[in-house]
Amino acid sequence: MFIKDELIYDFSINMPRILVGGKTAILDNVKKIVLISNNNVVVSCGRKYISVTGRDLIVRQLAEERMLISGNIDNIEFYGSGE
Amino acid sequence: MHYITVLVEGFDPQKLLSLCLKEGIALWNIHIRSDLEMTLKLEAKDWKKFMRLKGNRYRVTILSEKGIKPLLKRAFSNKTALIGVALFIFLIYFQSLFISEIRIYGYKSYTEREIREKLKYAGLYEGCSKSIDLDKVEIDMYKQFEDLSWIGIELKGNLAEVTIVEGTKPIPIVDKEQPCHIVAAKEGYIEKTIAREGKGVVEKGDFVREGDLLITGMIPIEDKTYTQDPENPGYRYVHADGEVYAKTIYRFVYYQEKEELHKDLTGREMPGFSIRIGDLTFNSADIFRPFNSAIYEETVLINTVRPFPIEFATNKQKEVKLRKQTRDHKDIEKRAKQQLREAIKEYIPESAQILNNSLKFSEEENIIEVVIMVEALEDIGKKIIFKPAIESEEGNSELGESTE
Repeated sequence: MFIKDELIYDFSINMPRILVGGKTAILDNVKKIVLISNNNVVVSCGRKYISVTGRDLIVRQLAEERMLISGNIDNIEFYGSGE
Repeated sequence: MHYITVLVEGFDPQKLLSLCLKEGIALWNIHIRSDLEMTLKLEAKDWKKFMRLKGNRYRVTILSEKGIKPLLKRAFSNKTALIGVALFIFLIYFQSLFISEIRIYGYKSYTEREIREKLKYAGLYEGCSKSIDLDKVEIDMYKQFEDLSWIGIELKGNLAEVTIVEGTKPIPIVDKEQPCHIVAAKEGYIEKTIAREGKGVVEKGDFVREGDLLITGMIPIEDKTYTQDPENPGYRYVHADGEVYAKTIYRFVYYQEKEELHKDLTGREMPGFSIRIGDLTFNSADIFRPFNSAIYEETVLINTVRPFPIEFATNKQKEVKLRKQTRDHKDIEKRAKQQLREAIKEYIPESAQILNNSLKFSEEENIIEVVIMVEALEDIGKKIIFKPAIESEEGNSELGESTE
């Protein structure tokens, strides 16, 4: 990764950023919660949206623009065009 | 930390969550129960802000409160429990003010009972205050035991550990003014006599038995000026002093096993545990004994005396196969030499010089008899006072006569 790409990755505070591992997903730059249910969590990251679909989803932590979701994650989608 | 778990009821729960995110209220464990219900956890410091944000749109019910603050609140609200805890703490503290156990180490000639009695007399007993002056107790003990070389008292919690070192028994001091003989304290062959005062009556190579006279304190007066009665010579009485070295023989008999029992581990083992509360003991190894022969190993994990005498230990029964093996001569000799050293240390005085030693082995049915002979050179002299009452009267009269 070039340094320019890395800087863009670190400082793009209005773009979705997600880290998934096993049964946990960490969503960064969460500005607003659009929809929340047992099976679906949709959040706005400013320019784009992230949708996490799965079963028995629980929000373990929600603080400082970061959301930690655990459960059986089936699908992650990004949508919305803030280009 | 103080956390509150709440049930939030109302439409659009995501709106409340977004508001919390915006206001910087941290939330944990958000469970969406249905479209209208969710449970979440928040810190008590954010409670007021959260209640302001929820406004009239949502209904909030506290489900539980966790943390030190609510715990203390609950504890302090129950006065009986509080008094109980305070009483318990006080009892523990009160108990810690006294000595509950005394352990004595290092005694040899004295009995533990004797030492305990003297310690009690000095002010140290089970149940006495810990603020006792230990230096004073030590000084008292030195006064009570004449041959005490050293005493150390150490407090370990409620336990007092008394370590004593016994010295040699003091040699009874014979009054220098009184006439005395030096006699043999034990039998032996005379090697050397050094008579500082008195007259040696034994020669090198003489065999003496216990009680035989070695240096006499009665010295016949040889006066050539006057003629003396040859049957009744006059005596001068002195305090005999000197050393008489003699070769003494010590004989010790020890026994050794002809065969040695070997325990070979088979690799099979059975883990277990034991609990002891006061006098009650439970040990799983007493109930489960899967092996015919096994060695038992125990590791003590918890062992407390106060406030409750509890011991908890894990153990292992390791299966072993027993095997008898005839011991070789080298091993027997090695052990015999060890026995020789032990015998010298225990029975022969430190001042004695070891001249020679010999080991004799004689095999019997199942055992080996080891006869140890030690030849030592030592001072066997012992002072004994004698009263020259009758003799002195006669001697005086004769002297009187002879001087006239």
